[in-house]
Amino acid sequence: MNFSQRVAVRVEGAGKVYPNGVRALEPVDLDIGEGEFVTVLGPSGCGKSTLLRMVAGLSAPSSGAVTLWPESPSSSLRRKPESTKDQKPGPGARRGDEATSIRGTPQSGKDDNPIAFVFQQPTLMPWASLERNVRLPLELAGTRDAEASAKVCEALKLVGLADFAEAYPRQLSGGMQMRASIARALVTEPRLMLMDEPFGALDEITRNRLDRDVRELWARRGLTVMFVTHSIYEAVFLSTRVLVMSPRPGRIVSGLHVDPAQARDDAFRLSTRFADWCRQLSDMLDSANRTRASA
Amino acid sequence: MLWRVFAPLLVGLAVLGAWHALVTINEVPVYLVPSPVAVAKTLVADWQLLSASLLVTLRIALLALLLALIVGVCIAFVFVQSRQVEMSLLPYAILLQVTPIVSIAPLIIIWVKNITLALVLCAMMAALFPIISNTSQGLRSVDPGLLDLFRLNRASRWQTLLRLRIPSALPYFFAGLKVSSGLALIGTVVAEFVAGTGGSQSGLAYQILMAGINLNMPRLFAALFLITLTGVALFVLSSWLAKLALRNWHESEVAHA
Repeated sequence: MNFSQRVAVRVEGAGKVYPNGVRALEPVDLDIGEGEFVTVLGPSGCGKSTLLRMVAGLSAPSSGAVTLWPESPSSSLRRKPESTKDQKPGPGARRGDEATSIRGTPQSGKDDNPIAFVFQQPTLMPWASLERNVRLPLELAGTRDAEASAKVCEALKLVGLADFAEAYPRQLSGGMQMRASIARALVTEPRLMLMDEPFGALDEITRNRLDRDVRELWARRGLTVMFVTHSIYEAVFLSTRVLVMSPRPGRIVSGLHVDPAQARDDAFRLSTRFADWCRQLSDMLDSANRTRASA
Repeated sequence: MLWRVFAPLLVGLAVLGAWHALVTINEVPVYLVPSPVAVAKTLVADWQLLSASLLVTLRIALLALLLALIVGVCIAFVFVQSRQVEMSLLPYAILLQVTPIVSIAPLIIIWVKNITLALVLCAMMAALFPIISNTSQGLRSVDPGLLDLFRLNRASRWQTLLRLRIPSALPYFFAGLKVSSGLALIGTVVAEFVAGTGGSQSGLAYQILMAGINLNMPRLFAALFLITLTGVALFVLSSWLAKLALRNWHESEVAHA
Protein backbone atom coordinates (compact mmCIF):
# COMPACT_ATOMS: atom_id res chain seq x y z
CA MET A 1 0.00 0.00 0.00
CA ASN A 2 1.42 3.20 -1.15
CA PHE A 3 0.38 6.47 0.47
CA SER A 4 0.98 9.62 -1.41
CA GLN A 5 1.28 12.80 0.57
CA ARG A 6 -1.45 14.65 -1.29
CA VAL A 7 -4.41 15.76 0.74
CA ALA A 8 -7.79 14.53 -0.45
CA VAL A 9 -10.00 16.15 2.18
CA ARG A 10 -9.16 19.22 4.20
CA VAL A 11 -11.57 20.27 6.92
CA GLU A 12 -10.75 23.66 8.41
CA GLY A 13 -12.74 24.63 11.45
CA ALA A 14 -15.91 23.30 9.92
CA GLY A 15 -18.75 23.17 12.43
CA LYS A 16 -22.46 22.80 12.26
CA VAL A 17 -25.11 24.66 14.19
CA TYR A 18 -28.67 23.97 13.14
CA PRO A 19 -31.06 26.88 12.68
CA ASN A 20 -32.83 25.87 15.90
CA GLY A 21 -29.60 26.51 17.80
CA VAL A 22 -28.56 22.88 18.29
CA ARG A 23 -24.82 22.51 17.98
CA ALA A 24 -24.35 19.28 16.08
CA LEU A 25 -20.66 19.56 15.49
CA GLU A 26 -17.96 21.66 17.10
CA PRO A 27 -15.45 23.12 14.62
CA VAL A 28 -13.32 20.27 13.27
CA ASP A 29 -9.86 20.40 11.74
CA LEU A 30 -8.89 17.37 9.75
CA ASP A 31 -6.73 16.34 6.81
CA ILE A 32 -7.29 13.07 5.00
CA GLY A 33 -4.47 12.03 2.71
CA GLU A 34 -5.04 10.38 -0.64
CA GLY A 35 -5.18 6.62 -0.30
CA GLU A 36 -6.08 6.67 3.40
CA PHE A 37 -8.92 4.66 4.89
CA VAL A 38 -10.15 6.93 7.65
CA THR A 39 -12.93 5.85 9.96
CA VAL A 40 -14.86 8.25 12.13
CA LEU A 41 -15.98 6.46 15.26
CA GLY A 42 -18.43 7.82 17.77
CA PRO A 43 -21.69 7.26 19.61
CA SER A 44 -25.04 7.87 17.94
CA GLY A 45 -25.88 11.51 17.40
CA CYS A 46 -22.31 12.76 17.84
CA GLY A 47 -22.31 14.52 14.49
CA LYS A 48 -20.16 12.05 12.59
CA SER A 49 -22.73 11.73 9.81
CA THR A 50 -23.02 15.52 9.73
CA LEU A 51 -19.28 15.75 9.17
CA LEU A 52 -19.50 13.23 6.35
CA ARG A 53 -22.43 15.05 4.75
CA MET A 54 -20.48 18.29 4.86
CA VAL A 55 -17.58 16.63 3.08
CA ALA A 56 -20.03 15.32 0.49
CA GLY A 57 -21.55 18.75 0.01
CA LEU A 58 -24.99 17.58 1.11
CA SER A 59 -24.92 19.96 4.04
CA ALA A 60 -23.14 23.29 4.24
CA PRO A 61 -20.91 23.98 7.27
CA SER A 62 -22.10 26.83 9.49
CA SER A 63 -18.51 27.91 9.99
CA GLY A 64 -15.14 27.05 8.50
CA ALA A 65 -14.69 25.23 5.22
CA VAL A 66 -14.25 21.83 3.66
CA THR A 67 -12.02 21.54 0.64
CA LEU A 68 -11.45 18.49 -1.51
CA TRP A 69 -8.07 18.16 -3.18
CA PRO A 70 -6.94 21.57 -1.96
CA GLU A 71 -3.55 21.21 -3.59
CA SER A 72 -4.73 20.62 -7.14
CA PRO A 73 -6.67 23.69 -8.19
CA SER A 74 -7.91 21.96 -11.32
CA SER A 75 -10.12 19.55 -9.45
CA SER A 76 -10.51 21.14 -6.07
CA LEU A 77 -13.96 21.53 -4.57
CA ARG A 78 -14.63 23.96 -1.79
CA ARG A 79 -17.62 23.98 0.49
CA LYS A 80 -18.19 27.07 2.55
CA PRO A 81 -20.94 28.32 4.78
CA GLU A 82 -23.80 29.78 2.89
CA SER A 83 -26.15 32.56 3.65
CA THR A 84 -29.06 30.24 2.98
CA LYS A 85 -30.28 28.16 5.85
CA ASP A 86 -29.50 24.51 6.21
CA GLN A 87 -30.33 22.66 3.07
CA LYS A 88 -32.40 19.66 3.58
CA PRO A 89 -33.49 17.74 0.54
CA GLY A 90 -36.99 18.98 1.05
CA PRO A 91 -39.80 18.64 -1.41
CA GLY A 92 -39.87 21.33 -3.98
CA ALA A 93 -36.15 20.76 -4.48
CA ARG A 94 -34.40 24.07 -4.18
CA ARG A 95 -31.77 22.88 -6.57
CA GLY A 96 -30.52 26.35 -7.30
CA ASP A 97 -29.13 26.84 -3.80
CA GLU A 98 -27.84 23.35 -3.45
CA ALA A 99 -25.93 23.38 -6.68
CA THR A 100 -23.61 26.06 -5.35
CA SER A 101 -22.29 23.78 -2.68
CA ILE A 102 -21.94 20.77 -4.92
CA ARG A 103 -20.67 22.37 -8.07
CA GLY A 104 -16.99 21.87 -8.60
CA THR A 105 -14.74 22.84 -11.42
CA PRO A 106 -14.33 19.59 -13.29
CA GLN A 107 -11.51 19.81 -15.78
CA SER A 108 -11.73 16.46 -17.49
CA GLY A 109 -14.41 13.88 -18.01
CA LYS A 110 -12.73 11.46 -15.68
CA ASP A 111 -12.92 13.79 -12.73
CA ASP A 112 -16.50 14.61 -13.51
CA ASN A 113 -17.71 13.24 -10.23
CA PRO A 114 -14.76 12.34 -8.05
CA ILE A 115 -16.79 11.50 -4.96
CA ALA A 116 -19.26 8.74 -4.26
CA PHE A 117 -21.51 8.33 -1.26
CA VAL A 118 -22.83 5.12 0.27
CA PHE A 119 -25.82 5.69 2.53
CA GLN A 120 -26.97 3.92 5.68
CA GLN A 121 -29.70 2.30 3.64
CA PRO A 122 -29.14 0.69 0.23
CA THR A 123 -31.18 3.57 -1.25
CA LEU A 124 -31.99 1.78 -4.48
CA MET A 125 -34.84 2.71 -6.81
CA PRO A 126 -37.42 -0.04 -6.25
CA TRP A 127 -38.82 0.33 -9.75
CA ALA A 128 -35.54 -0.35 -11.49
CA SER A 129 -33.42 -3.47 -11.92
CA LEU A 130 -29.98 -3.59 -10.34
CA GLU A 131 -28.46 -2.88 -13.71
CA ARG A 132 -30.49 0.28 -14.07
CA ASN A 133 -29.82 1.31 -10.48
CA VAL A 134 -26.09 1.00 -10.91
CA ARG A 135 -26.29 2.77 -14.25
CA LEU A 136 -28.05 5.81 -12.80
CA PRO A 137 -25.01 7.99 -11.99
CA LEU A 138 -23.67 7.43 -15.49
CA GLU A 139 -27.02 8.25 -17.08
CA LEU A 140 -27.32 11.43 -15.07
CA ALA A 141 -23.85 12.42 -16.24
CA GLY A 142 -24.77 11.66 -19.85
CA THR A 143 -22.31 8.83 -20.41
CA ARG A 144 -22.72 7.09 -23.76
CA ASP A 145 -24.76 3.88 -23.67
CA ALA A 146 -22.10 1.40 -24.71
CA GLU A 147 -19.52 2.83 -22.35
CA ALA A 148 -22.03 2.90 -19.51
CA SER A 149 -23.04 -0.72 -20.10
CA ALA A 150 -19.46 -1.87 -19.89
CA LYS A 151 -18.86 0.07 -16.69
CA VAL A 152 -22.05 -1.17 -15.05
CA CYS A 153 -21.17 -4.72 -15.95
CA GLU A 154 -17.73 -4.33 -14.43
CA ALA A 155 -19.04 -2.72 -11.25
CA LEU A 156 -21.60 -5.47 -10.73
CA LYS A 157 -18.92 -8.09 -11.27
CA LEU A 158 -16.70 -6.35 -8.75
CA VAL A 159 -19.28 -6.75 -6.00
CA GLY A 160 -20.25 -10.26 -7.10
CA LEU A 161 -23.68 -9.42 -8.46
CA ALA A 162 -23.07 -10.02 -12.14
CA ASP A 163 -25.76 -12.72 -12.19
CA PHE A 164 -28.37 -10.42 -10.64
CA ALA A 165 -28.24 -7.54 -13.09
CA GLU A 166 -31.89 -8.01 -14.07
CA ALA A 167 -33.16 -8.60 -10.53
CA TYR A 168 -35.14 -6.00 -8.64
CA PRO A 169 -33.99 -4.70 -5.26
CA ARG A 170 -36.91 -6.28 -3.37
CA GLN A 171 -35.88 -9.70 -4.67
CA LEU A 172 -32.51 -9.45 -2.94
CA SER A 173 -31.29 -9.75 0.64
CA GLY A 174 -30.19 -6.69 2.58
CA GLY A 175 -26.55 -7.60 2.08
CA MET A 176 -26.95 -7.93 -1.67
CA GLN A 177 -28.81 -4.63 -1.83
CA MET A 178 -25.91 -3.00 -0.02
CA ARG A 179 -23.49 -4.57 -2.51
CA ALA A 180 -25.52 -3.06 -5.33
CA SER A 181 -25.33 0.28 -3.57
CA ILE A 182 -21.54 -0.05 -3.45
CA ALA A 183 -21.46 -1.01 -7.11
CA ARG A 184 -23.41 2.15 -7.90
CA ALA A 185 -20.84 4.16 -5.96
CA LEU A 186 -17.93 2.49 -7.77
CA VAL A 187 -19.37 2.80 -11.25
CA THR A 188 -18.26 6.41 -11.67
CA GLU A 189 -14.71 5.45 -10.69
CA PRO A 190 -14.64 7.87 -7.78
CA ARG A 191 -11.42 8.90 -6.08
CA LEU A 192 -13.10 9.47 -2.76
CA MET A 193 -15.69 7.15 -1.20
CA LEU A 194 -17.79 8.45 1.65
CA MET A 195 -19.58 5.72 3.57
CA ASP A 196 -22.16 6.53 6.21
CA GLU A 197 -22.59 3.46 8.46
CA PRO A 198 -23.36 1.42 5.38
CA PHE A 199 -23.58 -1.94 7.15
CA GLY A 200 -25.25 -0.88 10.37
CA ALA A 201 -28.51 -2.62 9.52
CA LEU A 202 -26.95 -5.93 8.51
CA ASP A 203 -26.33 -9.05 10.53
CA GLU A 204 -22.82 -9.54 11.82
CA ILE A 205 -21.86 -12.33 9.43
CA THR A 206 -22.88 -10.32 6.36
CA ARG A 207 -21.32 -7.23 7.81
CA ASN A 208 -17.95 -8.91 8.34
CA ARG A 209 -17.96 -10.22 4.80
CA LEU A 210 -18.80 -6.82 3.33
CA ASP A 211 -16.15 -5.17 5.50
CA ARG A 212 -13.61 -7.55 3.99
CA ASP A 213 -14.86 -6.76 0.48
CA VAL A 214 -14.72 -3.01 1.03
CA ARG A 215 -11.23 -3.26 2.40
CA GLU A 216 -10.17 -5.29 -0.64
CA LEU A 217 -11.76 -2.81 -3.04
CA TRP A 218 -10.00 0.04 -1.30
CA ALA A 219 -6.63 -1.67 -1.69
CA ARG A 220 -7.24 -2.71 -5.28
CA ARG A 221 -8.71 0.58 -6.49
CA GLY A 222 -6.37 2.92 -4.66
CA LEU A 223 -9.41 4.68 -3.22
CA THR A 224 -9.55 7.21 -0.45
CA VAL A 225 -12.28 6.20 1.97
CA MET A 226 -13.96 8.13 4.75
CA PHE A 227 -16.09 5.71 6.71
CA VAL A 228 -18.50 6.46 9.54
CA THR A 229 -19.41 3.79 12.07
CA HIS A 230 -20.22 3.22 15.72
CA SER A 231 -18.62 -0.21 15.74
CA ILE A 232 -15.15 -0.38 17.29
CA TYR A 233 -14.45 -3.73 15.62
CA GLU A 234 -15.40 -2.45 12.20
CA ALA A 235 -13.22 0.62 12.69
CA VAL A 236 -10.14 -1.43 13.61
CA PHE A 237 -10.69 -3.99 10.89
CA LEU A 238 -11.09 -1.48 8.07
CA SER A 239 -9.03 1.56 8.77
CA THR A 240 -5.57 2.92 8.42
CA ARG A 241 -6.62 5.66 10.84
CA VAL A 242 -9.50 5.93 13.29
CA LEU A 243 -10.84 9.24 14.60
CA VAL A 244 -12.78 9.13 17.84
CA MET A 245 -15.57 11.63 18.41
CA SER A 246 -17.15 12.75 21.66
CA PRO A 247 -20.90 12.79 22.19
CA ARG A 248 -22.90 15.78 21.02
CA PRO A 249 -21.84 18.41 20.31
CA GLY A 250 -19.29 16.27 18.52
CA ARG A 251 -15.58 16.93 18.56
CA ILE A 252 -12.72 14.81 17.32
CA VAL A 253 -11.00 13.96 20.58
CA SER A 254 -8.36 11.46 19.60
CA GLY A 255 -7.03 9.32 16.81
CA LEU A 256 -5.42 5.96 16.33
CA HIS A 257 -3.34 4.58 13.50
CA VAL A 258 -3.87 0.96 12.62
CA ASP A 259 -0.77 -0.54 11.05
CA PRO A 260 -1.43 -0.38 7.29
CA ALA A 261 0.83 -3.35 6.71
CA GLN A 262 -1.41 -5.53 8.88
CA ALA A 263 -3.29 -8.06 6.75
CA ARG A 264 -7.05 -7.73 7.21
CA ASP A 265 -8.47 -11.21 7.24
CA ASP A 266 -10.50 -13.37 9.58
CA ALA A 267 -7.36 -14.32 11.50
CA PHE A 268 -6.78 -10.64 12.25
CA ARG A 269 -10.17 -10.41 13.96
CA LEU A 270 -9.09 -13.08 16.43
CA SER A 271 -5.58 -11.80 16.98
CA THR A 272 -4.33 -10.10 20.14
CA ARG A 273 -3.24 -7.08 18.09
CA PHE A 274 -6.85 -6.62 17.01
CA ALA A 275 -7.97 -6.88 20.60
CA ASP A 276 -5.32 -4.36 21.64
CA TRP A 277 -6.46 -1.79 19.12
CA CYS A 278 -10.07 -2.37 20.09
CA ARG A 279 -9.24 -1.84 23.75
CA GLN A 280 -7.39 1.38 22.97
CA LEU A 281 -10.36 2.71 21.01
CA SER A 282 -12.75 1.61 23.70
CA ASP A 283 -10.69 3.52 26.30
CA MET A 284 -10.67 6.59 24.06
CA LEU A 285 -14.46 6.46 23.69
CA ASP A 286 -14.83 6.08 27.44
CA SER A 287 -12.64 9.05 28.24
CA ALA A 288 -14.43 11.09 25.57
CA ASN A 289 -17.67 10.26 27.33
CA ARG A 290 -16.25 11.19 30.71
CA THR A 291 -14.96 14.58 29.57
CA ARG A 292 -18.41 15.28 28.22
CA ALA A 293 -20.02 14.23 31.48
CA SER A 294 -17.71 16.34 33.63
CA ALA A 295 -17.80 19.35 31.34
CA MET B 1 -57.89 -19.35 -5.33
CA LEU B 2 -61.02 -21.08 -6.65
CA TRP B 3 -62.71 -20.32 -3.35
CA ARG B 4 -62.07 -16.61 -3.83
CA VAL B 5 -64.25 -16.73 -6.94
CA PHE B 6 -66.86 -19.17 -5.72
CA ALA B 7 -67.53 -17.80 -2.26
CA PRO B 8 -68.82 -14.39 -3.38
CA LEU B 9 -70.64 -16.02 -6.29
CA LEU B 10 -72.40 -18.36 -3.91
CA VAL B 11 -73.46 -15.48 -1.69
CA GLY B 12 -74.80 -13.62 -4.71
CA LEU B 13 -76.81 -16.62 -5.88
CA ALA B 14 -78.17 -17.16 -2.39
CA VAL B 15 -79.32 -13.55 -2.15
CA LEU B 16 -80.93 -13.70 -5.61
CA GLY B 17 -82.64 -16.99 -4.69
CA ALA B 18 -83.98 -15.57 -1.42
CA TRP B 19 -85.13 -12.43 -3.20
CA HIS B 20 -86.97 -14.46 -5.85
CA ALA B 21 -88.51 -16.75 -3.25
CA LEU B 22 -89.69 -13.92 -1.01
CA VAL B 23 -91.21 -11.98 -3.89
CA THR B 24 -92.97 -15.07 -5.29
CA ILE B 25 -94.24 -16.46 -1.96
CA ASN B 26 -95.54 -13.10 -0.71
CA GLU B 27 -96.94 -12.23 -4.14
CA VAL B 28 -95.33 -8.79 -4.03
CA PRO B 29 -96.70 -6.72 -6.92
CA VAL B 30 -94.16 -6.12 -9.67
CA TYR B 31 -94.53 -2.30 -9.38
CA LEU B 32 -93.11 -2.51 -5.84
CA VAL B 33 -90.38 -5.13 -6.05
CA PRO B 34 -89.83 -7.13 -9.22
CA SER B 35 -88.31 -10.59 -8.99
CA PRO B 36 -84.80 -11.04 -10.38
CA VAL B 37 -86.28 -13.09 -13.18
CA ALA B 38 -88.51 -10.20 -14.21
CA VAL B 39 -85.51 -7.88 -14.15
CA ALA B 40 -83.52 -10.26 -16.31
CA LYS B 41 -86.40 -10.56 -18.78
CA THR B 42 -86.65 -6.76 -19.01
CA LEU B 43 -82.93 -6.50 -19.50
CA VAL B 44 -83.25 -8.69 -22.58
CA ALA B 45 -86.49 -7.16 -23.85
CA ASP B 46 -85.38 -3.54 -23.42
CA TRP B 47 -81.79 -4.22 -24.41
CA GLN B 48 -81.85 -1.84 -27.35
CA LEU B 49 -82.97 1.08 -25.22
CA LEU B 50 -80.83 0.21 -22.22
CA SER B 51 -77.66 -0.52 -24.16
CA ALA B 52 -77.90 2.84 -25.91
CA SER B 53 -78.23 4.54 -22.52
CA LEU B 54 -75.39 2.44 -21.15
CA LEU B 55 -73.12 3.66 -23.94
CA VAL B 56 -74.05 7.29 -23.26
CA THR B 57 -73.32 6.97 -19.55
CA LEU B 58 -70.15 4.98 -20.08
CA ARG B 59 -68.84 7.49 -22.60
CA ILE B 60 -69.42 10.42 -20.28
CA ALA B 61 -67.89 8.63 -17.30
CA LEU B 62 -64.80 7.65 -19.28
CA LEU B 63 -64.34 11.12 -20.75
CA ALA B 64 -64.75 12.65 -17.31
CA LEU B 65 -62.22 10.24 -15.83
CA LEU B 66 -59.73 10.99 -18.59
CA LEU B 67 -60.19 14.72 -18.15
CA ALA B 68 -59.90 14.45 -14.35
CA LEU B 69 -56.71 12.49 -14.83
CA ILE B 70 -55.12 15.08 -17.12
CA VAL B 71 -56.28 18.13 -15.16
CA GLY B 72 -55.57 16.50 -11.78
CA VAL B 73 -52.02 15.52 -12.68
CA CYS B 74 -51.32 18.99 -14.08
CA ILE B 75 -52.61 20.62 -10.89
CA ALA B 76 -50.53 18.22 -8.80
CA PHE B 77 -47.40 19.22 -10.72
CA VAL B 78 -48.18 22.87 -10.07
CA PHE B 79 -48.75 22.14 -6.37
CA VAL B 80 -45.36 20.53 -5.82
CA GLN B 81 -43.47 23.40 -7.42
CA SER B 82 -43.62 25.32 -4.17
CA ARG B 83 -45.29 25.23 -0.78
CA GLN B 84 -46.60 28.75 -1.35
CA VAL B 85 -48.43 27.77 -4.51
CA GLU B 86 -49.93 24.76 -2.80
CA MET B 87 -50.95 26.71 0.27
CA SER B 88 -52.72 29.30 -1.86
CA LEU B 89 -54.55 26.82 -4.05
CA LEU B 90 -55.23 23.84 -1.80
CA PRO B 91 -58.18 25.44 0.06
CA TYR B 92 -59.96 25.86 -3.26
CA ALA B 93 -59.28 22.30 -4.29
CA ILE B 94 -60.77 21.20 -0.98
CA LEU B 95 -63.70 23.55 -1.50
CA LEU B 96 -64.31 21.86 -4.82
CA GLN B 97 -64.16 18.48 -3.15
CA VAL B 98 -66.58 19.24 -0.32
CA THR B 99 -69.19 21.03 -2.43
CA PRO B 100 -71.81 18.41 -3.31
CA ILE B 101 -71.84 17.93 -7.06
CA VAL B 102 -75.66 17.88 -6.97
CA SER B 103 -75.66 21.50 -5.88
CA ILE B 104 -73.46 22.84 -8.65
CA ALA B 105 -74.63 20.57 -11.45
CA PRO B 106 -77.66 22.80 -12.27
CA LEU B 107 -75.36 25.81 -12.63
CA ILE B 108 -72.98 24.02 -14.94
CA ILE B 109 -75.84 22.67 -17.01
CA ILE B 110 -77.26 26.19 -17.39
CA TRP B 111 -73.88 27.74 -18.20
CA VAL B 112 -72.58 25.14 -20.60
CA LYS B 113 -74.67 24.83 -23.73
CA ASN B 114 -73.31 21.50 -24.95
CA ILE B 115 -75.07 18.99 -22.73
CA THR B 116 -72.41 16.27 -23.10
CA LEU B 117 -69.71 18.73 -22.14
CA ALA B 118 -71.74 19.92 -19.16
CA LEU B 119 -72.19 16.36 -17.92
CA VAL B 120 -68.50 15.57 -18.46
CA LEU B 121 -67.52 18.68 -16.49
CA CYS B 122 -69.77 17.74 -13.57
CA ALA B 123 -68.43 14.21 -13.43
CA MET B 124 -64.88 15.44 -13.80
CA MET B 125 -65.26 17.73 -10.79
CA ALA B 126 -66.47 14.80 -8.74
CA ALA B 127 -63.47 12.69 -9.76
CA LEU B 128 -60.78 15.34 -9.61
CA PHE B 129 -59.73 15.58 -5.99
CA PRO B 130 -58.34 12.08 -5.30
CA ILE B 131 -56.08 12.43 -8.32
CA ILE B 132 -54.79 15.85 -7.23
CA SER B 133 -54.19 14.90 -3.62
CA ASN B 134 -52.71 11.47 -4.31
CA THR B 135 -50.46 12.57 -7.13
CA SER B 136 -49.11 15.59 -5.28
CA GLN B 137 -48.50 13.49 -2.19
CA GLY B 138 -46.73 10.93 -4.37
CA LEU B 139 -44.57 13.55 -6.02
CA ARG B 140 -43.50 14.68 -2.55
CA SER B 141 -43.01 11.23 -1.06
CA VAL B 142 -39.59 10.66 -2.47
CA ASP B 143 -36.99 8.71 -0.51
CA PRO B 144 -34.75 11.49 0.90
CA GLY B 145 -31.73 9.23 0.42
CA LEU B 146 -32.48 8.97 -3.29
CA LEU B 147 -32.90 12.76 -3.46
CA ASP B 148 -29.45 13.09 -1.89
CA LEU B 149 -28.10 10.64 -4.42
CA PHE B 150 -29.54 12.65 -7.30
CA ARG B 151 -28.09 15.85 -5.82
CA LEU B 152 -24.67 14.28 -5.40
CA ASN B 153 -24.76 13.27 -9.04
CA ARG B 154 -25.77 16.81 -9.99
CA ALA B 155 -29.04 15.76 -11.53
CA SER B 156 -31.00 18.57 -13.10
CA ARG B 157 -34.46 19.41 -11.87
CA TRP B 158 -35.87 17.81 -14.99
CA GLN B 159 -33.89 14.58 -14.49
CA THR B 160 -35.01 14.42 -10.89
CA LEU B 161 -38.63 14.86 -11.91
CA LEU B 162 -38.51 12.31 -14.69
CA ARG B 163 -36.40 9.63 -13.05
CA LEU B 164 -37.27 10.04 -9.40
CA ARG B 165 -40.41 12.00 -8.61
CA ILE B 166 -42.70 10.58 -11.27
CA PRO B 167 -41.81 6.91 -10.67
CA SER B 168 -42.13 7.48 -6.92
CA ALA B 169 -45.56 9.02 -7.45
CA LEU B 170 -47.00 6.29 -9.68
CA PRO B 171 -48.30 3.97 -6.92
CA TYR B 172 -50.03 6.94 -5.24
CA PHE B 173 -51.43 8.12 -8.55
CA PHE B 174 -52.95 4.75 -9.34
CA ALA B 175 -54.48 4.50 -5.89
CA GLY B 176 -56.15 7.84 -6.62
CA LEU B 177 -57.27 6.65 -10.04
CA LYS B 178 -59.10 3.68 -8.51
CA VAL B 179 -61.08 5.98 -6.22
CA SER B 180 -61.72 8.47 -9.01
CA SER B 181 -63.04 5.84 -11.40
CA GLY B 182 -65.96 5.24 -9.04
CA LEU B 183 -66.47 8.95 -8.40
CA ALA B 184 -66.56 9.70 -12.13
CA LEU B 185 -69.51 7.34 -12.54
CA ILE B 186 -71.32 8.77 -9.51
CA GLY B 187 -70.75 12.26 -10.88
CA THR B 188 -72.09 11.21 -14.25
CA VAL B 189 -75.25 9.69 -12.82
CA VAL B 190 -75.89 12.68 -10.56
CA ALA B 191 -75.41 15.10 -13.44
CA GLU B 192 -77.71 13.05 -15.68
CA PHE B 193 -80.38 13.10 -12.99
CA VAL B 194 -80.15 16.87 -12.77
CA ALA B 195 -80.04 17.36 -16.53
CA GLY B 196 -82.82 14.87 -17.19
CA THR B 197 -82.16 14.91 -20.89
CA GLY B 198 -84.39 12.92 -23.17
CA GLY B 199 -83.98 11.83 -26.77
CA SER B 200 -80.79 10.36 -28.09
CA GLN B 201 -78.65 11.75 -25.25
CA SER B 202 -80.40 9.91 -22.42
CA GLY B 203 -78.15 7.94 -20.15
CA LEU B 204 -78.95 5.26 -17.59
CA ALA B 205 -79.88 7.82 -14.92
CA TYR B 206 -82.58 9.16 -17.22
CA GLN B 207 -83.92 5.63 -17.70
CA ILE B 208 -84.11 5.23 -13.92
CA LEU B 209 -85.85 8.57 -13.59
CA MET B 210 -88.45 7.72 -16.27
CA ALA B 211 -88.93 4.16 -15.06
CA GLY B 212 -89.57 5.54 -11.57
CA ILE B 213 -92.19 7.97 -12.83
CA ASN B 214 -93.86 5.22 -14.87
CA LEU B 215 -93.60 2.68 -12.05
CA ASN B 216 -91.70 0.42 -14.45
CA MET B 217 -89.79 -1.28 -11.66
CA PRO B 218 -88.19 -4.07 -13.71
CA ARG B 219 -86.63 -1.50 -16.04
CA LEU B 220 -85.51 0.62 -13.10
CA PHE B 221 -83.76 -2.39 -11.59
CA ALA B 222 -82.25 -3.35 -14.93
CA ALA B 223 -80.80 0.15 -15.38
CA LEU B 224 -79.52 0.10 -11.81
CA PHE B 225 -77.86 -3.23 -12.48
CA LEU B 226 -76.14 -1.81 -15.55
CA ILE B 227 -74.87 1.22 -13.61
CA THR B 228 -73.39 -1.06 -10.96
CA LEU B 229 -71.82 -3.17 -13.65
CA THR B 230 -70.31 -0.05 -15.22
CA GLY B 231 -68.81 0.94 -11.87
CA VAL B 232 -67.25 -2.46 -11.45
CA ALA B 233 -65.92 -2.35 -15.00
CA LEU B 234 -64.32 1.06 -14.44
CA PHE B 235 -62.71 -0.17 -11.25
CA VAL B 236 -61.39 -3.30 -12.93
CA LEU B 237 -60.05 -1.18 -15.76
CA SER B 238 -58.11 1.13 -13.45
CA SER B 239 -56.81 -1.78 -11.40
CA TRP B 240 -55.63 -3.41 -14.57
CA LEU B 241 -53.91 -0.21 -15.70
CA ALA B 242 -52.20 0.06 -12.32
CA LYS B 243 -50.97 -3.50 -12.52
CA LEU B 244 -49.75 -3.00 -16.05
CA ALA B 245 -47.89 0.22 -15.28
CA LEU B 246 -46.32 -0.82 -12.02
CA ARG B 247 -45.20 -4.14 -13.39
CA ASN B 248 -43.71 -2.72 -16.55
CA TRP B 249 -42.09 0.20 -14.86
CA HIS B 250 -38.61 -0.66 -15.97
CA GLU B 251 -39.79 -0.91 -19.58
CA SER B 252 -40.96 2.70 -19.57
CA GLU B 253 -37.63 3.65 -18.04
CA VAL B 254 -35.79 1.97 -20.88
CA ALA B 255 -37.91 3.87 -23.39
CA HIS B 256 -36.78 7.31 -22.28
CA ALA B 257 -33.15 6.38 -21.61
